[in-house]
Amino acid sequence: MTTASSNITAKDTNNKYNLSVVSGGRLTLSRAQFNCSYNHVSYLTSDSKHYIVPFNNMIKIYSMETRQCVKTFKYLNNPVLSELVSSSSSNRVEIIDIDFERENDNIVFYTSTFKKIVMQYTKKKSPKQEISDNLVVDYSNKFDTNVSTLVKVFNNNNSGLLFLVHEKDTTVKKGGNGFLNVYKLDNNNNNGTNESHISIKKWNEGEVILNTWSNNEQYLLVLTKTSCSSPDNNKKLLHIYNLHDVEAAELVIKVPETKVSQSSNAHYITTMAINNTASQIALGYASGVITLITLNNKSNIGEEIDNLQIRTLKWHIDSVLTLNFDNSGSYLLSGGWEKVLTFWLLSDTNVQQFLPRLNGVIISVTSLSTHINDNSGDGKYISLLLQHADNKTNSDYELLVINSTDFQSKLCCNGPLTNFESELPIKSSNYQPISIVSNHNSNNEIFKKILRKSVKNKRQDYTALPFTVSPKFKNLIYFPHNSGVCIYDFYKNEQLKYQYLSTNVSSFMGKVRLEHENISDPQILKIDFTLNGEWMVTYEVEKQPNGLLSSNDSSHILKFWNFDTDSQNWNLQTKIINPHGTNIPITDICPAPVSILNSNAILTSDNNGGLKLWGCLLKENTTASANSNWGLIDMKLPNFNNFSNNVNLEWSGDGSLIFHSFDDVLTILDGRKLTPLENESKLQLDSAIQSLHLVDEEHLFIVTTTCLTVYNLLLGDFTKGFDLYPYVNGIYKTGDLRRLIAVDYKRGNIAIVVNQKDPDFCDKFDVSYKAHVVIFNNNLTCKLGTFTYNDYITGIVWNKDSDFYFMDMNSRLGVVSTTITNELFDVATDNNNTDFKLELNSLSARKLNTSNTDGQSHDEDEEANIINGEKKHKIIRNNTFMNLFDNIDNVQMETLFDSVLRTIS
Amino acid sequence: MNSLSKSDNNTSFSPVILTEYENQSGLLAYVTIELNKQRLSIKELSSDRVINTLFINEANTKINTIKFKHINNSDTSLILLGLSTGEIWIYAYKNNEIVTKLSTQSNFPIVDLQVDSTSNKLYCCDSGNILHIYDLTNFNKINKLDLNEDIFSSSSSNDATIGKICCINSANDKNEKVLLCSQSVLLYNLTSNEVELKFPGHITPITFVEYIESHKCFVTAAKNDRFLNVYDIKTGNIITVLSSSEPVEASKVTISIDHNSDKVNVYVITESGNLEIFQDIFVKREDSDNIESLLKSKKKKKDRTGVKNGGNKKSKKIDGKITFEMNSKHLPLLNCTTSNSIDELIITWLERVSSPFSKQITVAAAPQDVVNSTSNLFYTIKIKPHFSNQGQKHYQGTDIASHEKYVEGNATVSNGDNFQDLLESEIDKVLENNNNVITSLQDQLFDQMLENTKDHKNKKASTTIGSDNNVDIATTISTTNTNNKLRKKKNKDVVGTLTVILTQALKSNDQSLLDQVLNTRDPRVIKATIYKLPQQQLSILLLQKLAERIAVAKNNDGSGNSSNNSLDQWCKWCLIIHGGYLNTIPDLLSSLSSLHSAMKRKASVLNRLNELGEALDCVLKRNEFNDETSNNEYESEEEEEFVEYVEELDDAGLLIENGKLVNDDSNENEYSEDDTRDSVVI
Repeated sequence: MTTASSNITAKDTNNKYNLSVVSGGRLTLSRAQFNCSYNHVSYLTSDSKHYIVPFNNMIKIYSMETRQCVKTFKYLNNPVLSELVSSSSSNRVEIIDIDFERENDNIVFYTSTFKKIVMQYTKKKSPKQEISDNLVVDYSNKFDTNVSTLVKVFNNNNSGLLFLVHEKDTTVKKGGNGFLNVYKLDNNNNNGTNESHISIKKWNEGEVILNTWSNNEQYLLVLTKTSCSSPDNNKKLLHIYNLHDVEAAELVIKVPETKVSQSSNAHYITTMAINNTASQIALGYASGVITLITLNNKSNIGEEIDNLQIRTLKWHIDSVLTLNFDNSGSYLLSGGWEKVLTFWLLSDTNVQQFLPRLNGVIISVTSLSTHINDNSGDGKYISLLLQHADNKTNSDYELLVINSTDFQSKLCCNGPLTNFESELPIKSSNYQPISIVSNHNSNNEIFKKILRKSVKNKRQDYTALPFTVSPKFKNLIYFPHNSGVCIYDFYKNEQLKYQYLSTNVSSFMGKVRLEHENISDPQILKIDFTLNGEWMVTYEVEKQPNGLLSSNDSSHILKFWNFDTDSQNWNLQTKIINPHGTNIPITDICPAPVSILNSNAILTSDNNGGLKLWGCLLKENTTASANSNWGLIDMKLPNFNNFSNNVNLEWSGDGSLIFHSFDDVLTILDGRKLTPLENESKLQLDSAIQSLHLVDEEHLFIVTTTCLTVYNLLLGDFTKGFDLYPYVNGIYKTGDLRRLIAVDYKRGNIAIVVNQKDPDFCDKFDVSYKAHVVIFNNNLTCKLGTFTYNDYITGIVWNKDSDFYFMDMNSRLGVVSTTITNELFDVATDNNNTDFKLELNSLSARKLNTSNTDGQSHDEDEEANIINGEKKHKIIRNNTFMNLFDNIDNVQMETLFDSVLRTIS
Repeated sequence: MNSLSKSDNNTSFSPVILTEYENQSGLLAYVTIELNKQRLSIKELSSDRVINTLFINEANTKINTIKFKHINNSDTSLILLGLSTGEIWIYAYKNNEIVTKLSTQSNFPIVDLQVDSTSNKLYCCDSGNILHIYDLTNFNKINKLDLNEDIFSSSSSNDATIGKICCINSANDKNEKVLLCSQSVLLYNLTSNEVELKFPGHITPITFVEYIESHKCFVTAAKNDRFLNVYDIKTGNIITVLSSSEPVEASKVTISIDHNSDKVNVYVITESGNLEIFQDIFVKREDSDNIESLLKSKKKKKDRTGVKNGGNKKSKKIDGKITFEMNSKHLPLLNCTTSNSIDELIITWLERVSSPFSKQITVAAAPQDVVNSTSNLFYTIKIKPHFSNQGQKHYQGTDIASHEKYVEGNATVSNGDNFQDLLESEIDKVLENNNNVITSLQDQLFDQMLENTKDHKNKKASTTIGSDNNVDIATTISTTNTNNKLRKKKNKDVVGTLTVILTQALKSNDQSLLDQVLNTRDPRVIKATIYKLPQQQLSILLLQKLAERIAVAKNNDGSGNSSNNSLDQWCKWCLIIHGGYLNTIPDLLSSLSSLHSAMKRKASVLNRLNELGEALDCVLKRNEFNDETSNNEYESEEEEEFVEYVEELDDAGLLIENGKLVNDDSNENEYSEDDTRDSVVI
């Protein structure tokens, strides 16, 4: 590799491509599905210097002093971890507890499938972690893993390991939150085989609603509801269970009923907390009220206590989402939709202090404790899990650790934040907090419905909004997210910055009022850059509130930003409202390859066939780009009779030609005048053009809904093509296919992603996907690499250098690269050596008749059918022309004949 | 006492509640409140670096007093903290550890600490009037004196608590003496355990006392009092009274002694944060008038406290006053201490509420950045802020974790159909096209027809402009138009008509002239003017200009419908009269696109209005209908007064009213959106 680097020319296409997953991921909220109020899993080391945070693809250890990630355990890097944690593609196995073996400096992870993983923690070791099999302890043989899931492991020195296990209620068909068991494991004998486990406590007499435990993990608090058959109907009971003294009987308290409000929200308990001495319990209701129960005497253990001191704390105006007691017991922390962390001083009556304007809805707050008594007070932290609840397609979490005294942030981390085209079918990434204002609260029932739909649904468009790589810094990816942009550093694997790009309600407050709920924030849909990287162009759509005459009006805004090196922010310079007219969207943005008016320019297209060229106009007497604004400098008028959202733009490198595809017609325009060329300016294709790329000076790469093809501009003919129809038929929404196609303009290579359901792992409630990434050379004649990836790839992009970045459904970022041989990069599956023809089979026309089998039959994979190019003699069958007639509405008569001829030729 | 409003005084809202400045090392110790707890921070002001902080974890432990203590022969520097719990913590700030905690064994809060550096003794007084003496070399308690019995039993009950202490250890006097200050001052001999002298005091508790050894006297200041007393320790007399203009706060008095010349300057920071200067307080001055009046006022106070005045007492007014400004706002000072010489001071202040900063100033010589210098020592100093005032960011800077907010700032906001930046070539293209059009025969005939009617119309038009001065210009324009001979012949325009001016404006691209013409609002005039437009090519140009103006007007007022009514009129008539011609132009769509978009936008409102109209109509109709039906119901109700009531039927839920079961409300929910429901079930 080193010798080859000296002569990297056009010939280095011989370099092998590798696919590896290196970055990204998202934070998990693994305990939420077990109705656990203590829902976020993380661990502060005892010296309070490191914080261990599990992601869905790795475990990261952050230093609290430097905010840097000091160590990463990637699941895929490690054979043991990858086998245990990321089993196949379904995401059901998660890290649910983290512990620390002080004597050996080992980190201990527990997975929800009763496995314990022990890892070396000492920093001196090389990043290459050796995790051998004997460090994995499997407890799963003791439990019925079909119904049981591990929720939490309590490790106290007196009584060994206590497992809190959630068991599904198999007797009840619908509903039912299941049982909650505490098992005791004797850890005196360490050989893992003779250990006995005893169920020491089980709450099954009623339905378990919620569970939580105190910060010091001494007390377990369980909320149950008596079953309907019992005499006093719907009585809610609180069980306080001392985990240090497992023999002692539990303390049962009847939940005080409010008689004032008849609303069901006033009875719906959303979260709860217990303090370290079990003297106080806080219950948070959906109505926003917190009830604080103080236990006077513990004499009547085992009986129901009625004489309780009860205080109600009212501040939240939407559901209380999380509660936690400060370790000293003097404060109660609460959080909710307001994005304000509230401190209740318990010794005083209703004195509150606030930490407002957090980045997201607070769904978890934990008061972290350290064992060292530090006088400076810097050892006390509060860990918050924030959620960007505005994103309806994905749960975007953000972890924030703040100092409990001065509220300065100590740590902040999250994965790449992005919006997907539709709600993801992954259960763990679709947590919606309960709200009385927002009606978008999905409980399990609704979620199952979505899942069932997504399994059956043919259209499985989970592509992400198109993300872009900055031309100046190739490691920065810009993800459009709600009304902001998440700038993510690919190699550091950290978010660099999050900047709001538009006015919105949610950036400065929580949407907790009905009128706010109706307002939808502007959505950033496209981000692009001028070729020199000095200007960023964003396109956003703002929808009007529902129920108005103007509800259907959406305003489209184009914004031009330049980078301010002082503040390290993008500064807005020009904002253009309705750039193509009212209610007309921008369908594509293409930066000018050459300077126009001695400056940058951007070409935009609308869905009527109009084009507008925006130029950077320097203000008088200034030369700095910071003082310039943008204006319309040229335009091609739309034809108001035609509408299509399949519009693509491509500008030739010398700026002389513009390729403008509108539905199934490709028009070649003069780049200077925006007028069609005199001769041969129009090219009619068989179906709507999805993507258009001028790979080099000669080859125009066109993707339609039916095929991939290359048009040779010099020969004036199509030279090569593949059938694509079975892979994209009905799957993607209009214009979304191009998110899965990327072109390396430097080398002239083309990357295409094909997503498919993985039949091996699909069942009634679960669906799993795999994706193929295929790299072609500039004229599609040679395939440089084919990779199978076991997750749905939501977008691929060229990194403006030599690699392609892609993102999957779990927000993991990967790279398809020729250069990187870093050992950290884990190769997923490289099928590069397989026969070219076989690959072609797998790619092109694998099964032509899948279109009418509605994705239910999977057994015809082997049946391959190559439509064009490779085989001279074709077998024409009944279904050969099937795809032609599928979209016959758009096909003109001439085209139809052309297509027929091409099919049989 | 002083009615100065505290509203602009930043320090009163600051979390900084206690400060102590250490001269030698340039350290400032300050206590801030965090939630209900306190934090002590030690900051090196020269380097703007917080050396260490001590967080008091117990909520009920408050720091009452801070004293720095350097141990001479070692490197360790200590801070002594007097706490409200009756403990004294000895804190080594460099190592951030508490060396030891001295307990007074009583729960009275510590009021004052005093370190005698020569004997290395710590004098400490709590609110229970108990004086504790510790040896700082080994942290042992030497002595404990209950002053209540000894001293205050005799005196009046007002003086019950000691607020300040000051030890007086002179080299030639072996006796340990302490000044005990409540409202008055007692000189107490610790060796003999007796009160040596009583000094006349203030009327409020004393908050400051300092002994000046070279002059054998001491200075006191009291709470809310603007007078500072200087006492002679031998005689017990007041040597002089320093009167500042505002009350002096505790611990904001600095006494600066020049050992060479025996000059003593006193600097005080008043309530509003200004620095006031008393120079050379022991030099006697004859300033009789003022003294007389002051003595009178002092007499009253002294009478109340029952202390007789010494006759030779002098009063001294301030010699100078320095105010400070930052960002043209008054800056209250936090503290001041003496520096190298008698005239040099180190002042400290707070920025962004809680960050202290310092600067050295020379008092006597007015520095360069002085503004508003009224006399030698009365001036204002402008201080540059350490925090740049960029943005409205949090005083500690933005938190890294917070998202970057959206700022529109000075960005240009424009609209998609704002064509003002369109490249000139576009318009050139249009004009080029227009010139190539050959006037058809029909046009020519039409022109002739126009000519005939012209005279008649022009009279009307000319009344609006009413000027005959345009003869020459108009004729020259018509003569320049040489490409059409026929037209040239016909163009013997009547001078001064609006048409002529319009033509002229369009051809010469004279915007202001065009504006003048387009300001015409009379529809008849507009119609006539356009009717007489000599060259129909100009109509395109006119439409373009109109479109430009409509677009601009729309951008200016946003609504786009207020002021350009006349523009719409112009447009309308232009399209009506020259529509036929416009149809013949091939590339019109591109040249008039902006007009098209403007009109399209305006036309799109029509649908909306229709919808609204329909909705209103519907509501009105429904109301009407409801009124009618409710009237009917009312009438029918009247008749029903005599319905027979059968109890059995009612109990069985079978009572029928208006053909419906009375308690069958559930079916009626669907009607609930209009008002009929209320009227049905009364």
